[in-house]
Amino acid sequence: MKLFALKAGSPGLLRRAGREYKGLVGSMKETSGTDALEGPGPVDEAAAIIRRASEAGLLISEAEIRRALAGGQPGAEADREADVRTRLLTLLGECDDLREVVADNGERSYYSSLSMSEAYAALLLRRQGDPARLIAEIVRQDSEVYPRPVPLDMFTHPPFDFTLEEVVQTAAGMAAREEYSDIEETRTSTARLFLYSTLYLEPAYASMLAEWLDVGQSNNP
Amino acid sequence: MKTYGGWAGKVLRVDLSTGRSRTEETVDKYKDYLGGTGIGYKVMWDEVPAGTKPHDPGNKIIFAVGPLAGTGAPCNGRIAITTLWPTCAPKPLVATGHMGGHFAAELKYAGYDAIVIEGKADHPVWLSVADGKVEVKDGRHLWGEGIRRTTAAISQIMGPEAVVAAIGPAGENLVPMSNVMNSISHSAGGAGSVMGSKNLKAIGVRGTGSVRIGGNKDEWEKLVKYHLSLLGANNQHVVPNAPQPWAEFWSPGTRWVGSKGRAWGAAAPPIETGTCEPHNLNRIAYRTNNAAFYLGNAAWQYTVRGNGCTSCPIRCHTMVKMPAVASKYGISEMGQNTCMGLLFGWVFFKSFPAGLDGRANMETCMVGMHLADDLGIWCNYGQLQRDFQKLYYEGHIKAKLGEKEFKSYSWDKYEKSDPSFLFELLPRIAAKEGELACALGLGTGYLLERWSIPEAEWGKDHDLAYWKMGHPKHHSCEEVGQCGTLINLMYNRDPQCHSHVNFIRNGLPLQVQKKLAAEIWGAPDAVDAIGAYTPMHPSKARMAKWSVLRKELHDSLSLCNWMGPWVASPLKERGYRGDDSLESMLYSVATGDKLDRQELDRVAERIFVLHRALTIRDMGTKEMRARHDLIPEWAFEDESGKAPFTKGTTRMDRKDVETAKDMFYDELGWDRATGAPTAEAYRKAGMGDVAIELGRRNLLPG
Amino acid sequence: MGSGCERDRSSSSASGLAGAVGLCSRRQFLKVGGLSVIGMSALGPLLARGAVKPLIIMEQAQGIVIGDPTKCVGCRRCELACTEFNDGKAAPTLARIKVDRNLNFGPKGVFAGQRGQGNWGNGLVVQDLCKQCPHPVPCADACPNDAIVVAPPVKARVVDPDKCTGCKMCLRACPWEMISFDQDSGKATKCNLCGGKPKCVEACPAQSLTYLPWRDLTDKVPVRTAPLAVLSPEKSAACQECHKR
Repeated sequence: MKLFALKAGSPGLLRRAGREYKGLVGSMKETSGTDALEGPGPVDEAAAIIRRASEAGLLISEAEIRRALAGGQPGAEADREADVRTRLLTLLGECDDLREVVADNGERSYYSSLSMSEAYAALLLRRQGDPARLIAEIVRQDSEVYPRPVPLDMFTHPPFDFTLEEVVQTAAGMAAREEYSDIEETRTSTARLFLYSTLYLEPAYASMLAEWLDVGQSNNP
Repeated sequence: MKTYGGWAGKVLRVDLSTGRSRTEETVDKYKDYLGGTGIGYKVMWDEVPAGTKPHDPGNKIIFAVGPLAGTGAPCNGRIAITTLWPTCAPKPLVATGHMGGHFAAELKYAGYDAIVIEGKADHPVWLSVADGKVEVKDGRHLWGEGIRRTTAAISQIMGPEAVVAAIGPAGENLVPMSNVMNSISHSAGGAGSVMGSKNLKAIGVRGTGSVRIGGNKDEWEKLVKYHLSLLGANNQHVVPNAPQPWAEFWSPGTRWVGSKGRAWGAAAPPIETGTCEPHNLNRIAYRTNNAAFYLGNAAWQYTVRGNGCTSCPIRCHTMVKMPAVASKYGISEMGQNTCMGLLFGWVFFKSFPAGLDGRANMETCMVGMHLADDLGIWCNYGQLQRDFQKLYYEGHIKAKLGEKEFKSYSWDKYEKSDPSFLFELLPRIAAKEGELACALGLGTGYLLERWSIPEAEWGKDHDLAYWKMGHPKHHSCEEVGQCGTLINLMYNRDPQCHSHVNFIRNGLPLQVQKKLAAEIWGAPDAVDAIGAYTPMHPSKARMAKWSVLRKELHDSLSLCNWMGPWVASPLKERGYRGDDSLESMLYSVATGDKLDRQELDRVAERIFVLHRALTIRDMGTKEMRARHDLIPEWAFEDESGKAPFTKGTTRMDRKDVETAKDMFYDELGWDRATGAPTAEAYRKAGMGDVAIELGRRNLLPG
Repeated sequence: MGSGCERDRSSSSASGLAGAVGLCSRRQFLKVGGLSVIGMSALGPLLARGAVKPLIIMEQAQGIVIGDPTKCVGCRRCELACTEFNDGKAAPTLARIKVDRNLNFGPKGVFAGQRGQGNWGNGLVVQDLCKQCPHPVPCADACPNDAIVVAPPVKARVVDPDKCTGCKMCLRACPWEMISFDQDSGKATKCNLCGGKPKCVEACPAQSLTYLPWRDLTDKVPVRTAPLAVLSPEKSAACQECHKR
């Protein structure tokens, strides 16, 4: 399922060049807005609610969907619980873009891949839970995949939005816990704190990378 | 005779000695060199003999663009300037600079692909190019004025749409560390004093013509939109700086800083940048804010909007408004620039008490821009400022200046990082006033010579960024291992090549980069993680060759090498692939001359090889490997003693670097022992005449 | 030419109401009757205000492009899209959205220096756009050959190149200096809203241009010049039908 159509390029020159390029339909249509709300599936209120939330950068839980469908009237919710459940299951089957994620406590949330990536949804989900687990997951992922250490202050910015105290406290708490024994810290020459996972980065390497990210890159504009 | 689109069709020759001008047919004479640096090198080869010095009347200065300048191809706003380089030490050689803004486009609309300035006027002049009307005008009333007033004065004559490229007092006074600027903030470093030596104060251009698209206009429209769809943020970073709802990846080091909650705070009313989802081509201009990228989030409140070159949606310049500096320093509350231009004043100072969060950073940038962009002083990619810090804190300045001159500077202000210190220093550099100003204005190479400081001392320093021949590195081994090193060997000033680093810093995880690298350069081994370098590999040589060839191609076509090539994109559905054929497709449709990727890269190779020939001829030696392609000592050291190829160091291995040179020269078909192109290599590049000339001078290998 | 109602400005042969708009005598206009419904509904708010507006001579445009000067980043991609994608050449002087002339110093021009708008002033870049004027349409009225007509699908005022003789009267008539002249073809040209999908709006990377249902901006945007509106005697006489003194 695609958000927009890729058109075949014009023949002649471009085939000769060994490539066929695909033109994009003009961009005005493809901005977020009513088009995205409609989506490729049937117009369903629950689907629209989910898509609107994703456009705003938010997951939406089953409970929140129920409330929204009930129009904010408390009494009406209970009756519809089973209906909503069924409805969501159906939507998941019918609409390519609607996805479900499940938190550790079993709570289900939904998002639309039209405007939200799987990675971001996972991050938001993790954000709802234990901060230490969130930080650890991201630190490990970045240490493995990029690879790079993670500046602690990153977690004070959106979409994490912790306070500095919360982050520092969490990091301090992690040091004592067995399951986070691989999470280490390193300080750059400007005293900025970075975290990394020893599963994927050696201390000397992590420290060099942190210094590069913090100082080196700006010295090589 | 086939007529092509793209090119304006004429090269303007202006002989300042006689005041006369004439034109040549671009396509007839220069099609094989495209434009830009291609035309520049060709003119220098054909017409400026070895032994000419930068300020001699016999030197020429070539302002040139390519067929894409002035079109709607994204990122085509730069003009290349080729000449003998005043700061190149120990002997000036041919090098190029560029400036963005609107000069490149306006020149095309006036009907020209290039202006070649020859000779020397016997009194200050300025050149007026208004469509077909070319006049060398009396510039005596402008001589001594700053760049801003000069621009205003010429605009008052030529109209508000005129684009003015002007030098300031620095260029007038033949300070080698000087530039020429247009459109307020767009500078070409290094060429200012060459204009000054010709008594040329400024070039004003007004063009009411057009650039014809040679191919089908609907095809062109599709191609332009396709190119736009692949764009990232500045430097073609394709991953956002912080997690965004639409993005799979994010990377704190990228220039894609637009985000919900981040706004152009000094716009009235403020304008939020938003999440800048990559399919939304109407929000490209909100992705980048280089003031915020360099100076931290405190810069958002001062940001009025982005700015930049004709046709470019990226807007890598930031227009900032800081009312406090008006009363504090008596300067305009408005400032704009990017990168080193923005940081010009800031880099002089060792540190700021409040760190990045303080106001002092932006204040210092404002003062720096106010002075440097009016006086027309060049930074040599920050080497001026780094040298200054080292010379001061290691006592050289105190030792070399007489007591009287030393006391004439407020060093307490400098040590406290008070930006008002710049009011004492910068005007004096522009005026060559005093020993310190004269020395700094020479550029590193000749400064070291004048102050009897061995170059090796600069070559040992890890923080100084010095490379060779009077210039700093520019994205070398500290980041891109052997590929970066090889690129930095090739030029006679800092390379100004971003092909490689745009890719390495684009924010994609290593495995994704390796996958793309395999497709582009033949093997995933072409790219390493920074600080985890692996031994030299043929794919790295291919990447280095691609990097320099594409730099010359961009500088000749008129595409911005700070944005291209576009081999990665932000689009997950493409596997983050860009398109390595964009340049050849744009060229083919714009001109109507159909060349595929390999064919156009061969033209780029011709241009690059000609630069090598110029270097060999003007150095008078073919021993490039031994005498030109040099690497400073710091590149082979690690301050904590780590060995090469261990994780956590960017230290190069001497033997491996020699292998790198071998593979690179092989890739180009050059002689390994000398690093010089062979006669065969010149002939293959379509320059048999160059081979003959160099053969006559015994400058061919073997 | 008092009683003639035959000057059909519309280039389409649309049905009755939408079709026959031309110079009409008041008598004939009222006869056509239903035509006034279209005009009146659009004029409604104005009439409600008590403004006395003339009868519609040219059908009102259905769309208009407006610009937000605080968002314009001065890239000129609008001018490039307008000309490259319509005319096959990059020609800002020809563009029907005009940014370059305000880019450096703002609409007040060079002598505003650093105290004005634009790149050298406070950063605002005013995008000059065709207002798709309601009656009286200065460019259309000035054309001695009636070459400026209403075109489908969105009733933009458009230069018909078959009728244009290149006299440049329209250039002089527009108070906002929005008409361009194509040196290569020898004809005037102006904004035609790209048939309802304006390319400048599509091209802007800062979303500073918007395409909206038409509204009258003629009394909201300061003029650039004192127009030299020279009407032919026949047209002047026709104006007297409504504008009696």
